[in-house]
Amino acid sequence: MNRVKEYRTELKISQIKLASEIGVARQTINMIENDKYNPSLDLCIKLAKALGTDLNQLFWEE
Amino acid sequence: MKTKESFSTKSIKYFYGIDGELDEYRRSELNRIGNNAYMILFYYLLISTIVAEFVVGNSFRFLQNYLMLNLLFLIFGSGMYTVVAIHRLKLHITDVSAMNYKSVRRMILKRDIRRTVLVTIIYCIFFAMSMAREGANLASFVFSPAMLIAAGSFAAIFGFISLVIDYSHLRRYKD
Repeated sequence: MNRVKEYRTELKISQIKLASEIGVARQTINMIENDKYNPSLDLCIKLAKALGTDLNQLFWEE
Repeated sequence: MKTKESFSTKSIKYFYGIDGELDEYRRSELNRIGNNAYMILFYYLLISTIVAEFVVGNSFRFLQNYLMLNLLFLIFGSGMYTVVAIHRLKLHITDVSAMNYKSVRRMILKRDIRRTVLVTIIYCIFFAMSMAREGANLASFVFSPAMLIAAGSFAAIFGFISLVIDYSHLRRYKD
């Protein structure tokens, strides 16, 4: 389970805003948050940058 | 973050009726859907062609029916599968900000008018060709009231349905 939704809600950003910031569709953000799609490394990096964190914080499971 | 779309990207979006961003998720799903449709069509054509080869003999009528059956399978079989799969995954939905909503609707209207004109011309060519085969005078038929009424009705119905479907894919959100 990734923490994209957790970080996004913490920053009070909507799915649409995050999606337009990194150049994807809202459905893509929704699928990633619900663990129904595994994003590419390139997209993971964009997500991490947009959410002001790093890949470990966002995707690494303890 | 907008980058210039390649011809290939534009073609994929046009073919599958995607108006929004063609990102990696949408692309991978469309690849999967297209691959499934290709496999179904490949085996259908392979089997039906072999069967037709044995059955057809010299029957021109059977060959015509076979070609029509293939066309129906293409449209209602693989075509419907593609449409249903795209709708199930909501890949056709485009999110538009309230600020851009009007301009996007205008853009869709212009595109649908262009598409309707193109499809109507193709429709007229097919219609005229089938009439010519039946021995009608092509020149007088093309400009006949019957042809103009048929083309006008077709364009109005096709254009209206296209516009309603395309508008229904838009989702407005507030900035």
